[in-house]
Amino acid sequence: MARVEPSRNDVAALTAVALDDVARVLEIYVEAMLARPAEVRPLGDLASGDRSRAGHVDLEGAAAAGRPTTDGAAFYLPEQIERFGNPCGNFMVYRMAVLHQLGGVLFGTYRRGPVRFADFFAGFDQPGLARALFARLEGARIDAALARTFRGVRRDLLRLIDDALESTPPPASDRDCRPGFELQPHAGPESPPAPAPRRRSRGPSREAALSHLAGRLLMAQRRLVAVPALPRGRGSGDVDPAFDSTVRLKACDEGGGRGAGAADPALDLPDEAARLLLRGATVEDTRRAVRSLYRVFASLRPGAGPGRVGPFGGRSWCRRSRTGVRRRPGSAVSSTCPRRPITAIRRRSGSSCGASGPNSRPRSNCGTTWRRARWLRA
Amino acid sequence: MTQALQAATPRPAPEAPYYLAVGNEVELFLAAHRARMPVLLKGPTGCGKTRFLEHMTHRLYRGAEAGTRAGIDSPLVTVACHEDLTATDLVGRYLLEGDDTVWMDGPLTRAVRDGSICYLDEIVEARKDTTVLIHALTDHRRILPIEKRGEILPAHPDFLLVLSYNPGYQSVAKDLKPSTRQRFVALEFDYPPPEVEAEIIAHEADIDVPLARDLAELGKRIRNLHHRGFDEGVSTRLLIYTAQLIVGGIGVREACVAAICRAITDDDEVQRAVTEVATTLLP
Ligand SMILES: Nc1ncnc2c1ncn2[C@@H]1O[C@H](COP(=O)(O)OP(=O)(O)OP(=O)(O)O)[C@@H](O)[C@H]1O
Ligand SMILES: [Mg+2]
Repeated sequence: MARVEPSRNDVAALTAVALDDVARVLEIYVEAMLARPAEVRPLGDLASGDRSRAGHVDLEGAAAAGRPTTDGAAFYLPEQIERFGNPCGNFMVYRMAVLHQLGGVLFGTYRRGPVRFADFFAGFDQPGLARALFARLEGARIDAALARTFRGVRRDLLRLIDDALESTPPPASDRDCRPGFELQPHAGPESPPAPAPRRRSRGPSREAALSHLAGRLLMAQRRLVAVPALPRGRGSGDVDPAFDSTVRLKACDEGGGRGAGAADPALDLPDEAARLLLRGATVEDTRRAVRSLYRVFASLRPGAGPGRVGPFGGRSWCRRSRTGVRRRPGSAVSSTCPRRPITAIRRRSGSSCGASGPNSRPRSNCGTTWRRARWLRA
Repeated sequence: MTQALQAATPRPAPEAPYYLAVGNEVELFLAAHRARMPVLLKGPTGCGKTRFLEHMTHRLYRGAEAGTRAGIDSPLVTVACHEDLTATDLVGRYLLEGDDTVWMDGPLTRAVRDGSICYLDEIVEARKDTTVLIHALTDHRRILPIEKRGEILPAHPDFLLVLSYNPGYQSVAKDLKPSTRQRFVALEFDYPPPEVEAEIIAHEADIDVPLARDLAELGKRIRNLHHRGFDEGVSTRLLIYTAQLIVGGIGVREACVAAICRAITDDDEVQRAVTEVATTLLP
């Protein structure tokens, strides 16, 4: 008798998690974390033009890209997640998506600063590029702060980062992606954005460079979170492992002359970006980093499409390596890649998490289903 | 019956039971005691009311301030009140002993006679006829009418009446009457701020400070959900239980589920959300 193998769709139907089924749990979660009630709504509400509570830094962008976002009162999330091969993993993706947005609220992304967001972006020749930089840098700052503040975050963040790194398509060549920070004069922290220098005809495209930056941020992030937990016992936990690794990153930063990236190729990051991962970095530091990196990126030629953003960002992450070989981070996404996730995705197999897993039911034709990393970022 | 009700505190250990003050409750209690003013301890379950009183009793009866009180055998008489508790249970009754009947002091009478602190825990649960006793003991008269013996017992100079009362889950019908309430100096207790609660958890469960801090933070966040079917959030007591389970080798998440999530609510989704908060906060 022929054995019937379950199809990918069957597996997805069993393991995907639908927002409908977990919205109340997420709302209670947000309320506990934030000390005020919040609503969880499908991203479709944004796309269909319901922006009644707009005010978010990039609500429009989020709606267009299908990334989770928040306006502070409501948290907008995809209608279904089938990123991992088990409901627990997929629910974790929901929780981490919400938490990342919460992080923005907790760590001051939306705090009223001296300059309004809209005015800040409007001050650049290419506001879209400034926004893209801001999204990547601020997202990394928030994740680092989350991992430092909440000791349970590390484990799941690591899982998402590894998944993100693993599913990165191969780079054409690493050198093609490097924006060449060392060649650029550094802007002072408060200097206004300079006009874009003449575009180079050769060298990396802007998207490849953004993707490279995102990849390096991921690697640096990974270093911060991948510190083994210290043995537990009275007094032994006084050193926060995240703090410890922060110190190491800082040591890299201080000893490296040209920045954290100089000390270690895995942390090939400009100083401005590396600093955002350290304790005490604020959204003002992110703005400063955007101002200074903007000049580098504005000088690059625009490329074929959007690049990878990271575990919490990026919308073109569409295919994992067929060979299962770990790909190098920091690469641009092939221009042939469709922006919407394709359906023929090799699924990560995983064990079921048992009865405690969220109720999942198949969703057909979901507007915002995350299969691979279609993720947030402010 | 009466014996079963009374839980006379065993002779206190040489060291005062650990109590970490949250506000000025210690000073207030000492001042009230000096004037022999009855005290009402208000606050949610597991926030330290009983522990506070044990600590204060030790200070006043065994510590430097004890003086003649040091000779009192059972300085703290605790009565856990319930809906079947009558005035007779508190005052005492005649019992048959062979052919004779002998009088047996109830816990309140014993405390009034000896000069102990009598702690009526959750007084609103008790029958209404107990009110008469409380009123006579808590105004200028300081007497205990023992009806069955036709006796009026004046309170020992050191006697102090302390009630506890949890405003969170009392129905209006069970609320304390103003005429009762206004005979007491009220000390209000609540769950301590996270820094203080972390210190308490670390001490009580003998765990490392960062984990205690995480648990205290967890408590704070769960208390943000107070209207979600559980009025009181999670008690310090439950956070200590969780820590003790972890010390006993239970995984952090399992300990939280067993000692916190299942204990505070029956709502599956609230349980789940609280588990997720624990997953976020704890290593
Ligand atoms: N301020 C504090 N200092 C020391 N320990 C405390 C403090 N607050 C709470 N605790 C700890 O919490 C536990 C529970 O407190 P306790 O039994 O006194 O609560 P309670 O307010 O009397 O609760 P209930 O209303 O349910 O009787 C104590 O055993 C003690 O370990
Ligand atoms: Mg008690």
